[in-house]
Amino acid sequence: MKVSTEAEEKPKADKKESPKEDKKEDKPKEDKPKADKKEKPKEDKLIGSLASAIGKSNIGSLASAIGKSNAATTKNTNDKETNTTAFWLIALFFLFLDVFMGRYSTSFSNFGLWFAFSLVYVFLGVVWVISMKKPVKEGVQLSAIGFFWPLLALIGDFFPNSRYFGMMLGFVMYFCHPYVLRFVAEHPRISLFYFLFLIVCIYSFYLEDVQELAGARGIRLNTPSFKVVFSYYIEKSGELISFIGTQLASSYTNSIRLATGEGMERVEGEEEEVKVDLGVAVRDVKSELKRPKEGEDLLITGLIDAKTIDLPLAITVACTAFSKTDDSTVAVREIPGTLADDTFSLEPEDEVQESIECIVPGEDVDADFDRVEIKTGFAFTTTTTLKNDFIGKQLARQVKKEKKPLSEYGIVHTDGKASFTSGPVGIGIKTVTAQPISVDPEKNILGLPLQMTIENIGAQRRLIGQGKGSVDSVSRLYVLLSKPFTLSRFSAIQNPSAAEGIAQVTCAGFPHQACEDDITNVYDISKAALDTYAGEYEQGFVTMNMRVEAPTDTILGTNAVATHTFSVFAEYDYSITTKVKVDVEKKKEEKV
Amino acid sequence: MKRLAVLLLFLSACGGGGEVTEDAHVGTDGILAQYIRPTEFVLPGERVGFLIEVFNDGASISDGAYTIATDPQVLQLQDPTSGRFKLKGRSTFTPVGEKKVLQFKGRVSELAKRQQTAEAAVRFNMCYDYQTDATVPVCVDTRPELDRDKVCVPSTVSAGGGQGAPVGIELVEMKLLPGEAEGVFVPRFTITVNNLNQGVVVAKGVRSPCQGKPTPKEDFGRIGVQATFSNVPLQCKPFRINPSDKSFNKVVCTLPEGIPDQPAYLAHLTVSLEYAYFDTIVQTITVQK
Repeated sequence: MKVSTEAEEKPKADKKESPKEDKKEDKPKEDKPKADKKEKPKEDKLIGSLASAIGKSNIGSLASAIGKSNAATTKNTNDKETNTTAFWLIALFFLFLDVFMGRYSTSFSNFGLWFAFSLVYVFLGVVWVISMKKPVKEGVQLSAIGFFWPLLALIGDFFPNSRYFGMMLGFVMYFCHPYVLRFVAEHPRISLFYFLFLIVCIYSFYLEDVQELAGARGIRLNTPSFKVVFSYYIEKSGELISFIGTQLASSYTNSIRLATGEGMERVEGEEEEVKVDLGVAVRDVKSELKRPKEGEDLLITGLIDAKTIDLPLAITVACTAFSKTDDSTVAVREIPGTLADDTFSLEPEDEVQESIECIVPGEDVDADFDRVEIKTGFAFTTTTTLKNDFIGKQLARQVKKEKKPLSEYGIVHTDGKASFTSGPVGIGIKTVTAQPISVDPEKNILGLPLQMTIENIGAQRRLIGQGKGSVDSVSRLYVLLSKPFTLSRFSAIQNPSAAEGIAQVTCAGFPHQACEDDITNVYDISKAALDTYAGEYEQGFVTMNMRVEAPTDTILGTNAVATHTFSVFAEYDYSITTKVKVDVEKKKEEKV
Repeated sequence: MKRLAVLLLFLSACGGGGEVTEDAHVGTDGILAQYIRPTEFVLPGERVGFLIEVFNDGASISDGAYTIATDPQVLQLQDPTSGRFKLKGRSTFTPVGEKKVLQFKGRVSELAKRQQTAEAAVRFNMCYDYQTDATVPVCVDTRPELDRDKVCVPSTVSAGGGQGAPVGIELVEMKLLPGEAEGVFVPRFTITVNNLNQGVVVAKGVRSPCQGKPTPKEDFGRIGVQATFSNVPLQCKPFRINPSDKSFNKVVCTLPEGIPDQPAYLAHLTVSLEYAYFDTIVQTITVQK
């Protein structure tokens, strides 16, 4: 209530403070009170809500929260209080900015960044005058505050090697900010000083860069004009601001993509996914009765979304209810539910949505009833491919010395990233980190580690919908190597053979895609060999170590740079377990 | 007088402008290659062709070899995938170098059903011999103490912009050292040479980088140097170009017999560099369903 009283007193205070302005504004006298009437409640509402938000009853107490001196000097002008509030809000805004930017804004060398912040103040000043129709003087004062930044940056540079100190400094400076801002705002001469200081800073800081740039173009510039230096500065600032903008935009896009479960990269980051959502997802599994009574039939419903491209997909569903017990000596009772359909089949290139309906008969629904579990199982295949560029050792060294982009020598696969197809499992393969791989002609054989990680990413990517996914087993692996590479080791098995469950097969025996025997070696690793890793699937990922090798004189063929592709096709069994807690209401007569 | 004017007019018309007399020894290019109407997107199983224009944009005749290669899992190129070329360079009277168009064919592999796209880099490698010829005017002054009536003043001569070859002479610095005999001076030339283009310098005649064969370390950057000073051959030290530190790329040539003491005069230093050059162009094709 007090807020509105202060608002009514405002015109009086204005008259006392600035009679000249009043004289000038005599003409629109009739309109102005109307405008004031319209505007003031808005301000008061904002101030009031702000005050109430911080638990204070009026503006004075808000100002005292900022500093006693503020409260003392603002006894007669509500406008100043409003300004103070605005400053306080801006200061808070910059406090948050500085927390994000940390040391970077408090360094003189990051000129563009802190000058960009200064420009924000200028912008706010313009908004203050044009949009909020406030006096120009206030707008100028508000804009001038921005030039406080060089000082802050300069102080930050006294501690050039301590990022943490810079951050701490940022915090301290911004907690003091309201006082400093007010001081600068009320002393326009100081603002002018900062403005001149800024001009000198820009010139001296970019002078050397401009001279260097001119030198590179064969021009000697001893004292470039202000215009030249400022043009260069504006160009650089533009680049920086657009970089920050791009980063913010990409960060926003990424967070949206993560929130929707799309495009999440695996933690190790050695591969990227081909984004076509394949596999099975279970959704909306729930009990139709929120609180069934004892003896009532229980209906659990849900949906299965399934999509496959190249292979048929068979899905099995099981429904089981469980009782609860606090006594560890008493076994949990498992009650089989009855499903309307317990198998679904998809042909290649099918995409379906099926309903799950599980009924638990009423005679099994009693007081110790705990939950129903829907287990959806299916066999799936995920593929991953890694391209490696090979180059002769001496040529590689020479190319490195040249310090020119590798792509100019035909080397394009330098990130060592594999790409895997969509599904509940992510597969990463890697050979060596240093790409391209150099071929040493003094060695007869080039051997490379081929490390493969199978990771359960279904839940992480929300691809499987509702529930917990798990890899039950990997039933078969096909490893495809570009000739002349051969598989020389799998796990601990050296020179694997059919006797150990690892057989080299022809392309005719490879079911997943067309391949040609004269350019590809295909290895079929059976379940018997893969069972070595059987106990490791539960932890969410399993890493298999292989080794591939080739005679060095055949790797490059007749070329300077050769690309060889390694692919893995993993066939595995996957299951999604979705639990539905059911709270059964006891029968009334039992209570009695 | 009228006849003379008509004759002059006629002669100038025959001249055909300045193009014929254009200096061929400028620029930093040797053999250039480019894909003609490059194919970027192809379909699985499709037959594709590549046309590559090989063009001598330098000032030397060149003899070379080429190979073309890609990832066979994506694109299988048909033989022949290698060959040789010999192309004449630009000259004062033929301002455009010789060119040759090469044709290659291949078949795109099928993609797995779940694979939407695949990429392959088609690399065209060239290894060719090349020669850089430069003639630089240098001022010889055996009497620096005298400072009047001089034809020229000695200074470091800059020869930037290339001499119509991928390896170029950038600077020539001359010093006169006292000779063994009285009144004789030994000129010593320090010539700064650099690789001015994108490729790799190898010794003349070397083709191994293009053929996937090992190339000995000592063959990289090796350049044969021949120089004359007023048509008298100079003695030049063996030279290897050092790409990682260009300040070391200096050839030192001397005239041991020396020159007599005489007033300042302008003379010509002629330098010839012989080497082979390895270069690659890449075209990425994308297989899309």
